[in-house]
Amino acid sequence: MLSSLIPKDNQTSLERVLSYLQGQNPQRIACFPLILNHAARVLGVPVGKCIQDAELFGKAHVAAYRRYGNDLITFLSTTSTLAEAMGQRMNFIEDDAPQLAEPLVKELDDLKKVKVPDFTRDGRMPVYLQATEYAVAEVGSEVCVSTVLAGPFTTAAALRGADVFVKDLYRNKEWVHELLEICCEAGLRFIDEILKRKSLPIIVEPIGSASLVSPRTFKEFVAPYLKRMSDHIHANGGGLPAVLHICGKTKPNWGPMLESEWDIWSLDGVDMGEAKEFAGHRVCLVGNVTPANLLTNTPEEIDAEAKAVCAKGMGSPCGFILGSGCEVPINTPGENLDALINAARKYGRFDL
Amino acid sequence: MPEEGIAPVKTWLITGFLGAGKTTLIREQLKTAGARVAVLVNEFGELGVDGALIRAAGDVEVLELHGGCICCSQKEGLVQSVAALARGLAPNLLLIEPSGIAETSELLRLLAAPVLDGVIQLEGSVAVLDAETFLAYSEPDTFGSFFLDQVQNADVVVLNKRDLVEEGELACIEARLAELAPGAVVLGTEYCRLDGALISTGSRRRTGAPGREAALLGLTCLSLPFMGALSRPELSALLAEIASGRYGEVLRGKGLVPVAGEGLLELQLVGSRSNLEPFAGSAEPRLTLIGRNLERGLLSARLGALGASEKP
Repeated sequence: MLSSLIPKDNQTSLERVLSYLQGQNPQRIACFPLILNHAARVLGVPVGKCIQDAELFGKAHVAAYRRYGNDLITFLSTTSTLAEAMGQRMNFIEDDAPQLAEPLVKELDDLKKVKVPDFTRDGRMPVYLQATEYAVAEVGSEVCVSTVLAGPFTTAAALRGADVFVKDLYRNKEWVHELLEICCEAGLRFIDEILKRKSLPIIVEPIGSASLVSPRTFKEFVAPYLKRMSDHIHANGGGLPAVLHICGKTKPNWGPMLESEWDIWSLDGVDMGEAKEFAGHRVCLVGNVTPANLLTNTPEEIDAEAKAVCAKGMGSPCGFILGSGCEVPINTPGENLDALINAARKYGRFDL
Repeated sequence: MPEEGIAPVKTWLITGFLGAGKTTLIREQLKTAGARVAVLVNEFGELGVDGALIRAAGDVEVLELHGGCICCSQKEGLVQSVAALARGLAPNLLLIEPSGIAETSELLRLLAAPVLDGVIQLEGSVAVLDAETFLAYSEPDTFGSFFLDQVQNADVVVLNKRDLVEEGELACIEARLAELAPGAVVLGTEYCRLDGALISTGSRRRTGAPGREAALLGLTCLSLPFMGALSRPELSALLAEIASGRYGEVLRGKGLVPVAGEGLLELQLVGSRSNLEPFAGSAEPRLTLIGRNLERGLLSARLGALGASEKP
């Protein structure tokens, strides 16, 4: 599509997002592609280097915002970052996201090794927090900056190894709650550090996907801790919304998700129309163009998929934001992200 | 894109939850699988263990696929790794051992990607189950969808540790498996030991060859759809012929048989014994046999004459 045919924005990204919080329609819907490690590509540095250096990490996300005009900056390199700060070893890869090394909690007794991090020095906490400070200072007056952390359930799975952790849910229930308590406490303290830096804390809980846990398990092990996190953000966030992202399949767990009282749901492998019907009166919905398609499809195909998602999501009572279902793949062509954001400009308008 | 002159790599998915024995099964199979086998291990957090165990089993290439985000949306790395491995190493056989919490349906979808056309030949999926825990784990609300998905999408179920359950429990397990995976062949094992090789590097499945062959050495697995209904006398005659050994040594068989006037019947064959029960669900009518020295042509012709023909 010719760029002259794409409607121009008359709001900054921040104004657009604030419209949602004020219960007003923005000029057009916001667009939250979850740009994480892809930001390194925009800056032209290897991913492994970018995510271990606060200056590069901050600059990469600011550069990505300036390149694409995404309405949310999202500082995250892997959902294991909080676990890493709690003692979990990671394998860093030159040009990819780091991967979990051997689990910290190999035996039940290893629970004593797990600790709430010192946010001034443990793991990459300083990298995340300093990068956040940089972005808030640099572009915080025009775009919402967020710092993303894994929820207690996902952090616990990173410390234990996901397979073993899923089995623990069945065999070692009380022990799992002890582990979750520590992970929750670490998360709450991380949220405090993020709020201190005037960034929006966003919680991601991929291990709470319905592929891995049943609604009963979600209610018992995931929802209570998520509720404590959303309560904490509501109590300490100065009016900021509580934002929850769960990728993969979530529909079977929507009931207990709703009970944990989040304001914004970022969803992945679901029908946005069904999500709107189920939860649109309670939560603002974000999603859900297929991440793999951003990597492999053409801009025209991305436009068509985004149009279809908008058709389902628009009109959701508490608002709808176009986004990617999960992380934008590292090697996503820039023109596909342009197509996604332009789709919000074309199909998500309120001023026509 | 298919590559001229290079046959696609025979590929099996070996699924199973933690502790079921899938790594043991792979090690057992590697003892007889022949040369040039590659194993792709996809685990989260415990890669080194499984990889090392498999390497210790012999001359085998083991590659570890690291997952990004654990959610299903980020698995394009699997397709890229499989393509690179199949082209780069050109093994005779590729075994993919995904994470114990992976959904088979999602993996099958990924492995059907056009980029893998002609690069791999997906032979089927094997689900390794722990007989001791299966009934509890297969309750719908014990886990998320991954556990039942692995069973429901299996072509072959290896019911491991069967010696650790009583006969009564075993009957319950078989009934549950019949409900969840009516077309799958179920093989009971101890320590994942089978009488013969389930998977081998033997001659490749011929292009256009019908049916699914689970193995080319030792055990052979054939899965054939029925194209039309059989009369009761036709079915009885067929079962008698199978029991007499006319088509080879059939060890195990399962199927959903369309019988005129009766609808679908669920068939269970163990050795010379057979059992038929009405089947209420909807599924593709299919006969699956596993055994040794099966008279493939004879059986195929007989089934064709009865209205069954092998899937092209």
